[in-house]
Amino acid sequence: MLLAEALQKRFQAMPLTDGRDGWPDFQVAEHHLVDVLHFLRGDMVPRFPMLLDLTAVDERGGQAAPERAFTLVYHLHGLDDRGALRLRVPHADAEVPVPTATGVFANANWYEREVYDLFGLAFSDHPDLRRILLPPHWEGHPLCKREPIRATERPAYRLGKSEVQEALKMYSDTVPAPDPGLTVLNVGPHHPGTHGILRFVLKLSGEEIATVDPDIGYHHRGVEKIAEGHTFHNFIPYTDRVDYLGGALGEFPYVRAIEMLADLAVPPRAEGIRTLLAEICRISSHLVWLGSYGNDLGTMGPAFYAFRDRALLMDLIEKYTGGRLHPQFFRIGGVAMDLPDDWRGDLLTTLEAVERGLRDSERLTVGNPVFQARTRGVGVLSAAQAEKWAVSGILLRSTGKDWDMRKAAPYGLYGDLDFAVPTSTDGDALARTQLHIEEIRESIGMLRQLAERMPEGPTLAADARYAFPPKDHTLRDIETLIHHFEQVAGEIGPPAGQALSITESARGMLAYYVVADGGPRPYRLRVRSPSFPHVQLIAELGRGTALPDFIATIGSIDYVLADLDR
Amino acid sequence: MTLFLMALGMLLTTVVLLGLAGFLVFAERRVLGLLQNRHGPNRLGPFGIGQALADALKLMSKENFVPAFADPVLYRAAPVLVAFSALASFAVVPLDRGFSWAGDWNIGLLFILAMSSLNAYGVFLGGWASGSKFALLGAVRAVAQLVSYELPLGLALLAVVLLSGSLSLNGIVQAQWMPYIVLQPLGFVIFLIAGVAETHRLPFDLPEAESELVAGFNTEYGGMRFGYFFLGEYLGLTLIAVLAAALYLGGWHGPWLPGWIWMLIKTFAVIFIFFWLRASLPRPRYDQLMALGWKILLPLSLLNLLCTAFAAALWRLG
Repeated sequence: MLLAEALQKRFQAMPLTDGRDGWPDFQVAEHHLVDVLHFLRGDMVPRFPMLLDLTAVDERGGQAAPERAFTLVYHLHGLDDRGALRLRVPHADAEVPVPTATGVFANANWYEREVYDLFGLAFSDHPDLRRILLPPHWEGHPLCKREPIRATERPAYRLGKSEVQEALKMYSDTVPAPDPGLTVLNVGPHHPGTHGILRFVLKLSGEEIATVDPDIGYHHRGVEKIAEGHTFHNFIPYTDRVDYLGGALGEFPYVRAIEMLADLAVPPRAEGIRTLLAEICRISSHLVWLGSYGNDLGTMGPAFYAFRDRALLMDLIEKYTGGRLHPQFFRIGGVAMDLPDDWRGDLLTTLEAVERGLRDSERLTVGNPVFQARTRGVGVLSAAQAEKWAVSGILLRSTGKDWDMRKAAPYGLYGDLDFAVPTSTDGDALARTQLHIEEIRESIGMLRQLAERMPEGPTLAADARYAFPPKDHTLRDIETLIHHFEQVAGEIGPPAGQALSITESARGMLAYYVVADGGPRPYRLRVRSPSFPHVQLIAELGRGTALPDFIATIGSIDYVLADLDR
Repeated sequence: MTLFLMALGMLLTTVVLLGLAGFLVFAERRVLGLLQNRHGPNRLGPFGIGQALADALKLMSKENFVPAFADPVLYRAAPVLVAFSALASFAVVPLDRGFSWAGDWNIGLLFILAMSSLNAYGVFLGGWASGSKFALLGAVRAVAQLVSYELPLGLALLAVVLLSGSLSLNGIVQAQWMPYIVLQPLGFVIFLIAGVAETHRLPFDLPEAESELVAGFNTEYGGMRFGYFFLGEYLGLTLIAVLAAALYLGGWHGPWLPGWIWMLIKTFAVIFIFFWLRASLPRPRYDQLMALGWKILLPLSLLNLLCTAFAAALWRLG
């Protein structure tokens, strides 16, 4: 293999074998790191253009040697058939800084700030090393293994009076001192245009924006730390809520990662039901976006029409799963139960209504001349910028790149379905709106195909070590009951190893990277959410625009704050 | 005695107008509900009509709060100015033949334009005195927008004055042997668009622009002071509608029904158009709004005025 040879010869990289996802996996020494990244991004043919994710693992929870107290994990993606590549860099001492990757990949900036924030690892020559998710006064670094998982095990979080004043200073316009002629405007944390608690510190000249500084973390719930305290099964409900508009789309990468670790074969009907739910959730998420984006531009109508149709989809999900926004229906090795007998009829009627309603919403948005005037040429993203900031999803497809994980590396039942990946080359907000609508149409087509050819068979893998045993069997024989107890009480987990599973959520490439040590809980769980790199991009995309265009731009990016801050 | 009756009458007119504005808030919410596939307020009283009263009570019972960073005098004065200028304009509006306070006043139309300029002051001062950046941005937008759209508005009205030969609203209505919308279709459209901008309502609500400026010029206002702005907005909306009815739609002229009913029907029809616009259109960007005002509406209204003048001159000769 050319890649392995090059890495091993030139950089003494060591191939690693505990990955269960099949991606090439190498250990690289710290002093080689920047060179390796340079080589992979620039010199190699074909190159790896995208830094998919950068995170760390605190190895001090097990019996790791002191020289490998931390492991930095770099996931690169080729955006082609080769898929991902994992680099692992052992790091000994939290006091010694790690060489920064920002010189190679611009989007490493926020990822390194996150590692600094959550692990306490500093990066040498990083342009802007501040905490990103936690407030500046937070003591400690929560993803380190010595930090307790439950908040109740920590002393209460209190700010002294001087610290409160210090914190409030951030919101005053005198600190940081504005440049002459510029006004500092806080868009957020509470602002109708930011769709939640997110703060942009704008420096304005008139209404034109000179600089944008996104301030995130208001929505941080520590999902990655929470995962370390839960059994593998128990964590599934949290995955719905990471991107709360996506619902089942968030469960997909997580259960897939565990199934990779456990080497579980999922029955085709289970895959079919998962795909079905995922696509319903995708439509509902896109509809919410379409409605709220109209609201950003001052038109009230589309929101109500989009939400009307979304409510139909919610009813459908409720009928199938019992949940509405968050079905939490996926299980490791399958799904919780089979679909009700009359699922087809309901699905087809709902799709009919959604398709009809979509025509209304389309006319009210992309068909409206004022809407076009507000979005054409606004928030234009070039293909080069898209690569620089590692964007994915509709944002990437609006720049002409035909990249969709469902097509590129089919999972679930997507390989059997016939669908197109709509793209555009305009890169502006209007193109993104159009793409959302076209994707809804594609999803409707996929759901119709699923209604026709949903596979028959069981809905859960018959491997009692990792998948739940069938409930009716547990009431009949003691063997299955014991397995059931072991599963529920959290006594067994998948074998040690790690896996990265990438799926296409409604917003882009959503990846879960799970490190298991053989215990009943994840040793480390990393959520690579698409909103994080997309909001990072706003600092560049928002510069030089006027305030109304800024709102139109950030709205068109389709981020979800829970997905951003996790 | 006459003086006392006059004062009583004025009080009554004011109360009726304020009640109307409150009712319009409710009516708008019901109409929007109808147009947007939802119910709107329908709980209090028949059809939810008590909602207007409940809203008024809520606003009146709230604390009259002045932010520490606001200019206290102007902050208090601005909402009054807005409500006053809108209310005063109604003095020259006739409801029926011979039924108005000063419908015969020979500078009635000028008075309305003057009052609408005063209204711009109220909006601007409110935003400026609040001492908040969002409010200031809204105020700056408001003043530019209101000044820009007063030109096409005035020019469109001038064509009506040319046709009728009168500046008093009674005179203009009486001069309409056929509704002027037939003679002035372009003028009517210009008047309506400029009217929406003058009352800064969606789609031209840029001074408030919720998704951009939080609430624009009235961000820092609450309680009854916010209520005055609100009333001023809806009174302004009514004023534009009633002007459209009087100047273009033939005022109280109409078959079978009494004149004042015709006047009301025409006014509410125009108001409904305003609601409808709000339900369906996005907000243009600020520079697009300005471009529309200066580059399209202003030349068009000038052209309209010239053509009207020519036609009127030819009519006289012939």
